[in-house]
Amino acid sequence: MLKSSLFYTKVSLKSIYFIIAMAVTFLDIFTRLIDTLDISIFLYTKYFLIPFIFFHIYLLITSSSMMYQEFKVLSFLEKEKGRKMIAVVLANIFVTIGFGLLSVLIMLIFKNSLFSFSTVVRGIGHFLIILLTGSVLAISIGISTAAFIKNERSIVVSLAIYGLLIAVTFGDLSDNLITNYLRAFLPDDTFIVFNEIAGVLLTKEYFADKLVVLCMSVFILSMTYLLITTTKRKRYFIVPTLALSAFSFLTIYGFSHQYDFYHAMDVDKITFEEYEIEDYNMKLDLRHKLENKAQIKIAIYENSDTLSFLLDSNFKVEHVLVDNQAAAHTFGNNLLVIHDDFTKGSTVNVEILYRGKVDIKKDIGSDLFYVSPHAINLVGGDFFWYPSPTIADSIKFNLNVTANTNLYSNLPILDGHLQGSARYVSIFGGIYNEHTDGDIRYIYPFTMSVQNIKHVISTAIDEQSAADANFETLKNKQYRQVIVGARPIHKDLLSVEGSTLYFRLD
Amino acid sequence: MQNQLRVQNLCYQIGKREILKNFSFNCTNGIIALLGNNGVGKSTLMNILAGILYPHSGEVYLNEESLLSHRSYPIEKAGYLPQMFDMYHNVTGYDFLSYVYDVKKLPPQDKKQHLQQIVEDFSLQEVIRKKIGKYSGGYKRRLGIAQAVIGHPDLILVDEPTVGLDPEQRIAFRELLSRISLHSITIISTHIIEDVELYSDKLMIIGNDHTLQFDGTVNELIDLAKPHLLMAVIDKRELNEVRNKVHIIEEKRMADHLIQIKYISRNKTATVLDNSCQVREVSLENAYIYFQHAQNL
Repeated sequence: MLKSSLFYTKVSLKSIYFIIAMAVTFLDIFTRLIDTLDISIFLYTKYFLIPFIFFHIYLLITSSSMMYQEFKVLSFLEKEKGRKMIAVVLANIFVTIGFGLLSVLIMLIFKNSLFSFSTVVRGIGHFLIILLTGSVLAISIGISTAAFIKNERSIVVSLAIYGLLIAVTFGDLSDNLITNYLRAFLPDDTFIVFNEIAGVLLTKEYFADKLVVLCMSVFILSMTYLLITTTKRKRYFIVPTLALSAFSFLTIYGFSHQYDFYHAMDVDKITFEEYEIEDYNMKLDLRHKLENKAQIKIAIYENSDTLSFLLDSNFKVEHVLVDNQAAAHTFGNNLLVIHDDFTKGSTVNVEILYRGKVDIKKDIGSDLFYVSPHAINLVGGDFFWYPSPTIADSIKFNLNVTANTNLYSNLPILDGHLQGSARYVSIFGGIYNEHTDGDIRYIYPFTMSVQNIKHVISTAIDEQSAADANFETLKNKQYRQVIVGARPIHKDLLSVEGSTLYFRLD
Repeated sequence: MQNQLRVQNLCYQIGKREILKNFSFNCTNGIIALLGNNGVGKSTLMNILAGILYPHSGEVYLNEESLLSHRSYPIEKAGYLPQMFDMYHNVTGYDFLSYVYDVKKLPPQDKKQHLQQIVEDFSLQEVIRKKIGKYSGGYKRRLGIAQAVIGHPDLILVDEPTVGLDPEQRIAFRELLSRISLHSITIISTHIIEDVELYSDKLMIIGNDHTLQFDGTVNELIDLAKPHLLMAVIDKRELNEVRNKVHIIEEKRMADHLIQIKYISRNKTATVLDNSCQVREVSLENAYIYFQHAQNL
């Protein structure tokens, strides 16, 4: 099989379409893509769209033409049609791997040396995953159409099918079951707007998405293999069975593979009990998911049998203790309500243990709030990642944070220990660049420059477009650090929290 | 080494249509020509021997090794040149020969030397590194037979070897075949009698009823036909009339409106023309036409 695959690799490589695909790729790399490697390793993959498409077209044409051309002498040498099909698939995968390694070499040579090792590894992994999934799909389309049409028209048909997938992916077609299924065929990361601070988070959903594309390709190839190698009688059984399993798989995938999208909460309409947080301690684990033991000292200002906090419903509350005694609680609609007797004038110690995955998206592929080993974006006030009161007065926070990534916050940080007073706590981490200009520290993604940030701030001051509350702070430069972070689109571009200026990443 | 091919009771059918019926024969080294009208099953037999098609019943053994299994077909012991030999146009001749060598799982250490020898034997040096798409018909055919003899197989199957070749190429090709057949069983399926006449050691004719009708040498077929072939000289103007009476197998123009004809005496009416005599020199073509005609009686 390996010998056959190597022969078909030669056939594939000596095609004029390979030369065209290579020419387009290198032209695009050296005229455009190489610059993106200085900004973001993920941006390279995103802008690699044209080479991807040309490479896919090359794979469609060669795999289709290799398959439909049936030479008697090869039938004699290879004996089984299925053997040829597998050899053609492997040959084109070999070419894809070679193409991928060449591109990776370029990435490694021209990448910004400031990128961390883990970011580079993730960037390369992402590139190879996108390349491989798309290529295997193109190969399976090319081979399957050729196996059934058996002449040069199969090339036209396979290109038309690919064109349809491109149209569905890029076109403004309405969402329905069919278009959603079709969209799942193409790796969509090449055209979505992604968060360059987080890069591409290699989450379960990410792998599930790619796995679906691979599964579909394998399904198409298996079905083709069975149809060309089995007898008619077996086909009557195999085809419906395979079709049914594919449909079931896609349906299960469609129902289970749901992204969490951000929905703004109307906090003002929620009436809370009167209390004040005197002290807020957290023991936070932010390595893969968020796990927090929040210990809150609360002064009660009115008699009540409930105490309410805002907490995002994505989390699972493990226990609630009031003065070290288990307390009843209800949790839903982003509201955690503790049921106990709370007496006016008393002080209670509340402990809340909760955990959960944080992967909330602005749009498909565009991460908004997240916790991962590589990046963190938890913006207090925008996202209730810790039990919060509605009226946000200044609270004294004391946080011990365990994380795999570098951390930034509006609170002062020392060795994972965050301490200070603020209305809300925000924690950031990811592919950040740092720069100190005078007494102001800028924390920003590689895709931006400090000049660019300063320009936006000065424009806001000139046009008085910043919110009133922030305007004076901006004008008098009363902030000590600027952090660029992902925030919901309806939030101000610039907003101040203590001595920190948040700059919304668009 | 003397090779032996044994075919026993081979039957093949497509739907209810029988293509080969109870086909049996044995043969050893040399050129075996397979003759028959179009559609009688020559290519089917070649495909079965090449392991491309499975018969519905019967056995085929090459030196007592079965050829009827995809998995155990001794590919290294067989070579096959199909009628319309072609290959991917973007690979070189050497790429292809190298692939055939690899697929036959021949010793890797001998590869370079063996392929070099084959390239020289078939005078392919000039084109072997060029893409196959640039080959002339003659070179392509030579490449085809070159790949078939890789590994010095015991059985070589050649389907319509000289179709599309010019006369000079045909002669060269026949010489090649006779050379390689010294150490192997070379079965040639053809309808060009000229290919067979000089070089075949054995002849097999598949009849229109899809059975093996003749299995012998060229001389045996000629001897079989000779008593039934007559020769006469007639006036050109009588030709149409004569055609209605006898089955003419050869016409030769002579002087003064005269034509010498060869015809079959053994036909439905058994007519014998005046001044006829026995044909002294019977060609294979004459004998073959007689044989085919006799079958229809």
